[in-house]
Amino acid sequence: MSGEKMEKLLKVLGPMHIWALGVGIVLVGEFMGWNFTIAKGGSIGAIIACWIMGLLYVSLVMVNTEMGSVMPEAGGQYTMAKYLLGPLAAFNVGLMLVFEYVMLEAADALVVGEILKTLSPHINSLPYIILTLVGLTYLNYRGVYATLTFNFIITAIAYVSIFILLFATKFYDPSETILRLPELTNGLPYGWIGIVGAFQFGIWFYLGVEGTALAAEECRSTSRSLPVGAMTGMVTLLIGATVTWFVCSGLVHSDELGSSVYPLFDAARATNMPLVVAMLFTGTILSCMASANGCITDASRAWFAMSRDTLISDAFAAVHPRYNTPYRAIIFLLPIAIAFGFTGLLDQVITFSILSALLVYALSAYMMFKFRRMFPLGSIDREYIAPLHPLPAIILIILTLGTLVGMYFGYWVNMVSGFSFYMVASLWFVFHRYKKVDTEKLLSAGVENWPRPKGY
Amino acid sequence: MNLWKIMNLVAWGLSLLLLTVMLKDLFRVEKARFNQRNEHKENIKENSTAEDGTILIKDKNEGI
Repeated sequence: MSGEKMEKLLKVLGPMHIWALGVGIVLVGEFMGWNFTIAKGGSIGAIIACWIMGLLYVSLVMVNTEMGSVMPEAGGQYTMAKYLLGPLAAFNVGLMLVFEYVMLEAADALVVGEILKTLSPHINSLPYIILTLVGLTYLNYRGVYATLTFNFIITAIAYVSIFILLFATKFYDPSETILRLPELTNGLPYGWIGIVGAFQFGIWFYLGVEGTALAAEECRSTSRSLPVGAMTGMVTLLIGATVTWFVCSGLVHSDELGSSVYPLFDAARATNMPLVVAMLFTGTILSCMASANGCITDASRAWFAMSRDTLISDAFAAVHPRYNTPYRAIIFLLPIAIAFGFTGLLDQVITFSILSALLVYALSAYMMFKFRRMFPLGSIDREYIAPLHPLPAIILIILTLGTLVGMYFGYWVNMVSGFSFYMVASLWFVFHRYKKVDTEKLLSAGVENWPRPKGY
Repeated sequence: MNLWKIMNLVAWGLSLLLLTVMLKDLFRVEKARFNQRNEHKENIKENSTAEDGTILIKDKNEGI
């Protein structure tokens, strides 16, 4: 590739965009999915799982931000894995990130189609599913700045709709409030084991916020944008998750809430206020679009990074000459997202997404230990230092393993399938692809910018 | 035909339109890259042949 201009992504993003990327992918989890925590663990089990998973993600964001702000390349946890664990781990982490986000975007598009069907039986969900995916892919194709600015707007509107519902309940006035928490909630019907079972669905409140690290290369100032955007994103999500649980549990009976497809929308319908219902209908659609938008951005950046590093064919490493986007990676993943959506096995697809994410989290915890060992404090420039190390990494690994245990009880087939898939992919990489990997190119940026790691 | 069915068709139409626009641009960019690569190869081929027809061996790190 010598003689060709080095293809780079544009550095245009600020903290607001990182916030939008993180919150935008995740916010859909408040509008659908989290409520299965109530079926697994009861109303109190749900809020406990919500906060415990919040602790997992605060730890994750801390370790990701310290490592991510030092690695100004597209790829997030993939880039961390290639420098800290080697090519095989990097290949697996990259693949896990791509599958996590592609499946999530397919699910988001499917929800848009399903929600629209509630307007009329004459509405066919299929064209709207495809339009959502194609439209957002086109937005990403044209440019990251416009994409994430758009995401900021629709994420903000969706987030505000949750608070419109909150204030519509008049929660602040005990004599006028329509919330009925004591009547509608069911406590802890399955005890503490129910809380463990609820963990994997509690993840839906926050799954994807780690995607902020994938846009590091496109930040104007990575050391500032990443920590500020990611941390404010986590605070936003923690508040949003608690408010969501509060209003839904106070408006919809736990039996109904535990199986609802659109918990916030159902909560809005329980208010019998047409304006509030319309706001939450809009908020649900916008949150799905924001999530799918962020997923397309993150999945394509991960695929682009793997291609640029020759872990997969370098054909996907091309950058658009006018828009400066990884256009081949963006277009390549579109039919895959549509195909996953059309399997019709939505819960299986989403479970595989969650499993992929959990494996990345477990590896992130291990990478944090290695990172501090290889580059102790003071040996390399860090604008953000994760506090109380190794506590965040320990909390992260314990809670991730706990969630995997909880997932095993309901979805052990999915787990076996997932592990088998990554095993087969690893065998392909080791026996076929590895001989084409340019290890010099893989690590060149680190070699140029960092001192020799301790012990190497 | 009621409004919702018309909306279904509009959604299909928009999807096809956006897909066409994207693929058209993709084709344009790939064609430009392909032509640029061929131009490079032609330049190297010309520079690699001496006047008496001897093939000059170029350093593999030069060129494309």
